[in-house]
Order: sequence, then C-alpha cells, then structure tokens
Amino acid sequence: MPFYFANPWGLLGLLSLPAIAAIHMYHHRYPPLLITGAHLWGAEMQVTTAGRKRERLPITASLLLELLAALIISLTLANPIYGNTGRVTHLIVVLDNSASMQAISPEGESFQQAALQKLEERVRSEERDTVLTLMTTGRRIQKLAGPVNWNEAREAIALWKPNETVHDVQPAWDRAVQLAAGQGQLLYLTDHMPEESLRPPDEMEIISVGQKLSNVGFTTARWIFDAETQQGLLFLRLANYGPQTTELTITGTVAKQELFSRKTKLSAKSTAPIEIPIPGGVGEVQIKLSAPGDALEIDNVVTLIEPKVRTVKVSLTLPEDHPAQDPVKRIIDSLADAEFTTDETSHLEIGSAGIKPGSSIREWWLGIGPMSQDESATDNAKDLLGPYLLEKQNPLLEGVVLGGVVWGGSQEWPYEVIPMVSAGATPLMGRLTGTLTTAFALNIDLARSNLTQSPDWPILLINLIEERRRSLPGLSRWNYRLNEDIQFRLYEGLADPAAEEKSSLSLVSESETKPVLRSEVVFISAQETPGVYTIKEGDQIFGKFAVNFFDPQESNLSDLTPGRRTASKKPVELFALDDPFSWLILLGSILILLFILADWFVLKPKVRSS
Amino acid sequence: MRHDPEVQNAISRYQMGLLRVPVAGQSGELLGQGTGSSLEFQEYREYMPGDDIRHLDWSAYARSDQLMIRLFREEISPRTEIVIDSSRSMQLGGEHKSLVAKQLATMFALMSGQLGGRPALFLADDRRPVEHLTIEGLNRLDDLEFSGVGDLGTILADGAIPFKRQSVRIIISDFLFPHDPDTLIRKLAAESAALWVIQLLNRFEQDPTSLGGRRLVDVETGGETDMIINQDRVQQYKERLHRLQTSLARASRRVHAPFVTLVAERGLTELCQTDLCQAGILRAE
Repeated sequence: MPFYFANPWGLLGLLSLPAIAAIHMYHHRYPPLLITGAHLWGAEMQVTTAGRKRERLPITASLLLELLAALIISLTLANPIYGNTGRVTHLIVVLDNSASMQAISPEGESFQQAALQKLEERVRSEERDTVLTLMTTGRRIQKLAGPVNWNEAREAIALWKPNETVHDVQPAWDRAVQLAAGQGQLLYLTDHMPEESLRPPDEMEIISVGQKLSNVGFTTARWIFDAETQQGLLFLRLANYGPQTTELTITGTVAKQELFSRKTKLSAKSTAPIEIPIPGGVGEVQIKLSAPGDALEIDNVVTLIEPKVRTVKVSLTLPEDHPAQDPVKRIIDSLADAEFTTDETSHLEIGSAGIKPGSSIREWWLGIGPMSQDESATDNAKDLLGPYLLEKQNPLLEGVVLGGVVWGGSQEWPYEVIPMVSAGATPLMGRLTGTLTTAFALNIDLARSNLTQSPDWPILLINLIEERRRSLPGLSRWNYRLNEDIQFRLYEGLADPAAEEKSSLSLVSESETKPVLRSEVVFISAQETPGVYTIKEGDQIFGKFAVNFFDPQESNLSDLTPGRRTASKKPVELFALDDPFSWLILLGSILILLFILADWFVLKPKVRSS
Repeated sequence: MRHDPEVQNAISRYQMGLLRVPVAGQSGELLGQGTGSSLEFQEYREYMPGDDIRHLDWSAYARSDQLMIRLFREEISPRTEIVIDSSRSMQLGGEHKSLVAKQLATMFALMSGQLGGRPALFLADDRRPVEHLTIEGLNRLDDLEFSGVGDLGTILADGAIPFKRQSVRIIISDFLFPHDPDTLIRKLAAESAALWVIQLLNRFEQDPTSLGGRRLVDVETGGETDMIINQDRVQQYKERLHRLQTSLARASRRVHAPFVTLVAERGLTELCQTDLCQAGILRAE
C-alpha cells in the first residue's frame, strides 16, 4: 500500500523539532548556584564527569509535549495518505428506468432487486471506498443521488420506481460519461443488453439481469360515451406476450364495487380486443387483468375516467332558401353531441358568407356562399373543377380531398382571407382576417356545386364542430397514456374571468399536489406515474383525468436476456473527494490543543515563580 | 590571622567558658574535674588510709568525732583540640564564612594558649594524615584554602584525626553534609573532656531567598541539578535545616556540649559578644 504526503511542504514543520530541543537544551539553562547540602534542597544531584562537558538534553514533560505538538502540526499540514484512503472509486450508475424492470421472476425477485444486488456486489468488490452517483434513464434524466456512499445510495434506490415506457437511453449514457469526466467508472444496469448499434460508451460496464418471462397486459383502453344513448362502451385490447395460451380474467370495479368480470383465453403471442358496455354516469372505473404466471403488474391495471359530453351549440342564420340550409341541418342533426340553438349561448354560427361577422374572440363563424345574390355577380361567378390546393396542416381540412368536386359559384371576395383551399390563384375557402372572431368562409354556391354530395362535406363540417368542441373550456380528453402531454382550455377570451379571485390551479395526485400555471390554454407536462389526477381551481374540482401505462414494447418480456459487458476502457484516475479526512484534521487539531494546554499546565509553576 | 584585630580584640575581652565544665589536663589555670592541690575547697570526705594527713580537718573531727579529709579542686591546663572543617563548602557565600572560620580557630587556639594549654588545630580536609597545627604554626591559617571535598563524618570514620583523651574539642563546621547528628556528635565527644559544636553558615545558607530557576552545583561533589527556587522550595529547605540544627543541638546536649549556629556575615566581634557568650563558649573577663 503506498504511503505519501499530499502536501510534502508541511514536513518542513519537522525542522521545529530540533529547534525545540535546542531551546530546551540551551535557552532553558539556569544560572549556576554553588551550594552545599544539596540534600537540604531536596535535589537529586547529577555528577558530571570531568573533561569536555556535553550536556544531556533534559527530558522534561514540557519538552515532550512541545515536540509532540510540533510533530502533529507538521504531519497534519503534510496530510499523510496511506494506501488509497485519500481516493475512492466514483461509480456512476445508470439505472434503466423502463417499466419492465418491475417484472418479477418466478423466484419472486424483481429485475429491479436483482439489479440492486448486482450493484451491491459490484460495490463490495471494490478494494477501496466507493462513492456512487445514481441516475435513471427516461425522457427526463433523473439524478437520484450522488456522489454518496453506499448507505446513502441504498436509501435513494429504495425510493426508485421504474415505470417509463420505451425511451431512448443514450442521453442518460452521455450524461453519465460527462459526469465521469475520465475519473469515474460507468455501470449501466438494465434488463436487456442494448444493441451494439446503439454504441454504448466503451468505458461503460453493462449488466443485464433480465430473463424471458410470460406477461399479459393491456395495450389499449378507451371509454367511448354515446351522448345520444347516454351509454358507455369500454374498448380494451389485451395482449399475451408469453409462449402459451393463457386464461385471463378481466374485472372492472367502480368505487371498489365489482361492475363486471370477464374470462377469456388468449393464445400465445397474440392480442385480442374486448368491448364491454358500461352504463352512463359511472364516472371512474378501474379494470384489472389477472393471469397465471404474469410477471409484470404495471400493465395489468387501467383506470378510465368517463368522458364528459361537450355539446357544441350551433346557430344557423342562413336564409331559408339558402342552398346550404338543408345540407348543414342534415349533418348537424346527425351528430349526437351537437345541436342547434337560437340563443346567444351558441358556440358556432353558420351563416351567409356575404355578411361579414362581428368581431368577438369567443365566437366562431362559418360563412357559406354565394358571396352576393346579385345577378351580375352570379353571372361572373366561376365554376371550378380543380385541381384544388388544400392547406393540409389545417385541422379543418383533415381528411378532406375534394376529389371530383365541382366548386361552383366562386365570386370576388368581399373581404380578405387566408386561403385554406385554392384553385390556382383563386381562394375558395379561407380564414377571415381583421376580426377577432374565428371565422371561415366558403366562397361557393352550393346550388352550382356537388360538394354537399361528396364525402368531403360532412368531413369538413364535423372537423369544424370538433375543432370548436376542442376549443371549449374544460378537458377535452380524460384518459391519457404515460408520458403524454395534457392540454386544455381554461377559459375563452383574452381575460381570465377568475383573475380577480386569484384562484390557484393545482394538480392533485395520490402522492402530491403540484401548482399549475393559469392561462387561457393550460399545459400540463407528461405525467410519469399512472393514476388519477385531479385539476383543482381553488377548492373546486375543475376536472379529472387518468394516466395509464400502455406500452407493448415494455410489456413484452419475451426478449429479455441476462448478460454482461465489461468496460473496455478504464478511468484514468480515481476520484478524489474534497477533504476526505476532515475528522483526522479535527483530531489532530484537538491533540495539538491538548498538548499545548498540557505544556502550559506543566510550565505554570515556572511562570508563577518568575 | 594571629594579628587579626578582631581576633586580638576577642582574646583580650573573652576567655574560654570552661569553669563549670570538668576537664582534665596539666596543672594550670583551669579547674580540673578531680580533686587536686588548688586552694579552692571542693568538699569533705571520710579519711581513708593513705590520704595526706595535712588535709585532715581537725575542727570537723572535734565536732563530729570523725576524721574528715578536706578536698580541694584540682587546677589543670586544658588540652584543646580545634577541628576546622576545611572543605570547599566553608568558603561559599563570599569570604565571610572562611574568614570567620579562620578567626574562630585562631581565637580559640590563642585563648587556649593563654591558659597554658597546648592547642592543636586540625585542618579537616582530604589529606591524610590530617594536617595538624600547633600554636606556633597558626600563620598557616592565613594560607588555608578550603579545598577539601570530604566531609567531617568521613574523616572521623577514617580515624584521620588523632584525638587525645580528656581534651577540650572545638568543632567548627557548617555541618551541611549528609550525616546522622547523634552518631557524629557521639564520635566527636568520645573520651573528650569537653566538646563545643559550632555550626558556621553564611547568610544564604541560614536564610535563603527565592531566586527562580537555578542550576544547583554542589561545590564538593560537583553534582548538578536544575531547580526552581521559589517560596515553597525555600520553605522546605528551611524546615530541613531547622530539623538538622535541632538534631545537632539535641545530640550535643546529650554529651553536655554546647551547640551554636553562627552566621558568618555578622562578623567575629558580634558573634563573640552575642552567640558565643550566650552559648557559654566564651565569657567576658
């Protein structure tokens, strides 16, 4: 074991030792006093031999204490290092945060536990002390702890719960390499050996604790609600990733009361959809899947929130003889969650394109041509056969192709629009500018067009209704996947109606409550834990949504294998902790103080007599 | 030293205080312990055959019808043996101690000579045999160097001093060497007619003061040690010295010897006038 001084200059302090001895030898010599009858003085005389006199150094308590104090001061300053006590191994551990790490083997041990056991073995195998930095892979790389000793690391690991869907692990590797900076060792603990194409860092050791296991789980779960019948339908897709046919039991509970239970058989490596009717007004249902030999729990549970009906109210202001009157009515009437209204609560006005709407940020408007009923305008109107240029990015035109559609009666635009559908340089449909109203206009004369007979007509209108529905305040979706962002409109308009009340918005889960920034459109970043989340506005519940784990790749445990890859590159140096021996310095300082105090105590009579 | 004014003054004013002390020696001015031929009547006793009939007291015979012999005190000249400690310790503390030692020795020798005695002066040092001075050789004291390193106890143990029986012995020393006072005084007093014990110290030896740190050097053995001479140390020294002096005095008393401690710095004149007279060693003429 090597022994060295971290600060050899401190050894210069050892020069004080002969200096102290010299002081005791010469400086402390008293003037002679010739006496007789030494026995009366109680002195033990020492007879020196004749010849050249060489004084013996008087070994006094004071001398010893001062020498010891000087020695310890020098050694403390020199910072002696024995062996590798001054340096430790810095092990940067990247933990695979995939949900599959929760899988439990037939022996009853999870991959997570097996990985931690490997880590402990790895730490114990080190000759010197080890400090660890723990980080997890995932969309957001998390540093669990570090640099900490093993005991602290173990406490941090106890709180770790891997539940990520499939994700890129390379950013975590890169971060680990960056952290190591050539001085630390890298270890990646996972349940499957990464492909070489991913190019794991050469200096990283990889240990895989995975093994092939059977698993069944949900891959999809939806709650569809029919506003017309007020009945719900659960659509579930189940998957069996194992090599054998498995009998599954699906149980739905509402407020801990069993709502339904189904048994089904699922052949090896197959999926099957299941539809389960569910009455309206249930609110929240938890569906569990159980099967013998199932290894992963996280994909066996799904919680769904009942969708809310968000009816879009449409006011139709078209003249009775307008050619769009019937086609519009036909479409709106067919939609369960849209209805006509005549009062001011309408969400969407459909009227004649010739009359420009007012300017209100809360209003939506669709104008349908013709732009003018004048004879001259009608005569000059163009009938177009295409080709049409569609702004495909616009959600209103999603699914619209206008194939074979004759766009008839296109007239001059009485206002400016941003084209959405054009034929050559002629805009046929566009969004109005110069108004706060979300306004669209179709420059068309349906009496001269076959648009209403084409499939594009209902698609266009339904897109508009759905777009308007999405823009309504409140949650537009209630069931999300893990790592899916949540977005909803809190209120319509520029001004927050609750601004004066200053009601805070918060997201409440089983484990915590997080504040949410108020704005017209609220954005909640993707949640990493499955469960039910409640959005509260002050003390009032604004809405509820559920987050569930669906990831066929993580649920499939049939490809997991154990393995190990040693690091091909060793770190250049060991990691040096800052001031690792502060307790030694403290001890040295205390000893120095004690020696100095003892020296003062020994010399006290001398001082008093003088 | 013989012509030292203080010595001359002393011998002119004092004589040795031997009257009450029975001594032996040649016929002279001092009264002996036994009966003798002096005119000083001592006592009666019954006549025994062989007694000098000239000393028969006829009057007493007439009164008591018994033959009584009149006894007279014997007159003697004392043999005086003066022992002067010639070790190095006797010259410590300046010249006072050695000077007074020489003066005392000379004074006693001259006083003894005046009484018709034959004083012998022994210089107790390391030489063997011990140097022996007579009254004629007192000038040797002028050149006396206190250079001995042996102590009086050792010298006595060696039998280096040829003491005579029935002599008057005067011992001048500081007695600061390790010894047993009883043993030492008994040896000095053995077969003597009288013993005077004079402890001569310098002022520091008698009454030391705090000096702080000092390297103590024993002037005779050469031994050294470092010591803080503080009040505690001084007090301890004084206690030990007092015990020594008390022991010496007690041992001297047992052999009917006066013991006196003299501090040299006070000078011979004052010492004779006070300490020596009070001790009965000298008496004014």
